[in-house]
Amino acid sequence: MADLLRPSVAIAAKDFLIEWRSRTALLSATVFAALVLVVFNFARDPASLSPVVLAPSVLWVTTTFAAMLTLNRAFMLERENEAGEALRLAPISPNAVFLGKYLANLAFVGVVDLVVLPLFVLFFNVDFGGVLLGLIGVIVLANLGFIAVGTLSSAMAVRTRFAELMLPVLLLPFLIPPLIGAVQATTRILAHRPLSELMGWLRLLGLYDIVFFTVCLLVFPSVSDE
Amino acid sequence: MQTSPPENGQYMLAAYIVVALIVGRYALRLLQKGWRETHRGS
Amino acid sequence: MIGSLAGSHRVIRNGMVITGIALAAMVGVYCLALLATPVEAHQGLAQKIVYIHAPAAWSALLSFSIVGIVSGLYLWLRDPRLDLFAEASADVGLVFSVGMLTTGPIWAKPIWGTWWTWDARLTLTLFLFFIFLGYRALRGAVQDRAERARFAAVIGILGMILVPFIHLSVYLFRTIHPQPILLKPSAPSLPPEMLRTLLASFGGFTLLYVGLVSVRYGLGLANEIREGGDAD
Repeated sequence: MADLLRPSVAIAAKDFLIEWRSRTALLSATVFAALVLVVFNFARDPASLSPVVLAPSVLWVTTTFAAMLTLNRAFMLERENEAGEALRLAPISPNAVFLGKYLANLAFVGVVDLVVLPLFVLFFNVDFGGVLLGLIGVIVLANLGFIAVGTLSSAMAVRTRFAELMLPVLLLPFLIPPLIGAVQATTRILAHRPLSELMGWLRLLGLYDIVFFTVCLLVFPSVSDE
Repeated sequence: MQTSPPENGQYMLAAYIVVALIVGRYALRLLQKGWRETHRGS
Repeated sequence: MIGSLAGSHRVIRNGMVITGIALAAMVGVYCLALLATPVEAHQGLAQKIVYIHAPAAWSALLSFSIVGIVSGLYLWLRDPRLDLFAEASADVGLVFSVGMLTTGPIWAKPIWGTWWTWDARLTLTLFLFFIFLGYRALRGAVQDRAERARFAAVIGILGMILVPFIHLSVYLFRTIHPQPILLKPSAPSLPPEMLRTLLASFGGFTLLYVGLVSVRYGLGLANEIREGGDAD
C-alpha cells in the first residue's frame, strides 16, 4: 500500500508544483468557468426563468466543463521532453502513476470549484446559509468518480490525434450519471429538503465513485504499457 | 366496446422503409465487399 | 499469428451465406408483420413498428454487450483477433442502433404524441450509441495498432459498466417506456399471432447480426493479414 501511495503522492506533488509555477492551466480554467457563469446568466429569459431555477444546472455544467479543461492538462504535461517515457520507465507501478495523476486532477478541479462556488453564489443570488456544507459534499462526491474516468480517458486522449476533441467525446457520456445525480441532489439541497430525499442520489453517486475508481485503477496499466 | 383503430399507417410504413434502407444497405455493402475480397485476383 | 488469408475468406464466405439467409428471413418477417398479423385495436397500424424496433434494439444491445465482453477478453489474452471482432461487432451495432433510434421516435409520435422523451431506456440507448461513436472515433485517431486495440478495449469495458449506471440514474429521474412484454414471468400479454411475429423478427435480426458480424470480422481479418501479416 505504501509502495503505491508514496510514488503517487510524489507525482501529484510534482504536477502541482509545475502548475503552481506557471498557473496557466488553473488560471484559464477558472476564467473559463467564470465566463460560462456570465454567459449562462444572459442565455435565459429573465422574465420567465428566475436564476434560482436554473442554478443547479448552471453550477454543474460550468464545473464539469471547467474540469474537462483541466483534465486535458494532466498527461499533456508528460508529452514535453518525453517525460511520459521516463515515467513509464521509472520503477513504480502504473497504478501509482494513475493514482498520482488522479490526486493531482482532484486537487486542480477542487481549486477551480473553490473559485466557481463563490462566483456562483454571487451571480445567481443563491441563499447558501446552511447549504454550503451539503453543496461541497455533493461536489466532492461527484468529482471522485468522474475524475477517475477523466484521468483514464485523458491518458488515452493525449496519445491520439485531435486530443483536445477526443477527451470530451469519450468522457461526456460518462458524465451523465454523476451529472444527473449531482444536479438532482443540488436542487434538493438548495430547496432545503430533508436529507432522506437525497439519499437515493447520494447512494448513486457513491456507487459510481467506487465502481469507476476501482475499474479505472485496474485497467490503467493496459493503457500505459508497451 | 369496439372502436376503430387510429389511422396511422404512414408511420408504420416509414419505420419499415427506414429499417430496410439502413440495415439493408449496410448488409448489401458488406456482401459486396465480401464478394470482392473473396474473388480478388482469382 | 492471426491465421491465413484463406481462413479469413472462409469466415467471409460463411458470413455471406448466413447474411443471405437472414435477409431472406427478414423479407419473410416483413411479409408476416405487414400482411399476416392482426392490427392492434387501440394503437392501430403503428403498433406494428414494435416488430422491428424491439428486435433492432435487441441486436444493438447484443452487439454492444459482445463488444464489452470481447474487449475484456482482449485485455486478458491480447489476441489481435479479439480486437478485430470487437471492432466488427461495434460497427454492426452502430447500424442496428441507428435503426432502433429512428424507429423509436416514429413509433412514439403516434402512440405517445411526442417524437422523443427523456425516458430511461431511450436515454440509455442514445448514450450507448454515443459511447460507441466515441469508440469508433478513438479507433480512427490512434496510429499504433496495439495501442489502438488496448484503448478501444478499455472504452469497450467502461461503456459496458456505464450502461447500468445510466439506466439507474435516468430511471430515478422518471420513465414511461412500456415494460418488457415478452419476458413477464406470468403469461406474455401479447396475443399468440403477434407474439409469433415478434419472435420471428427477433430470430431474423439475431441471425442478421451473426451474418453481418462474420462478414465484417472476416473483412477486417483479411485486411490485417494483407497489410501487416509480418507485424505480429
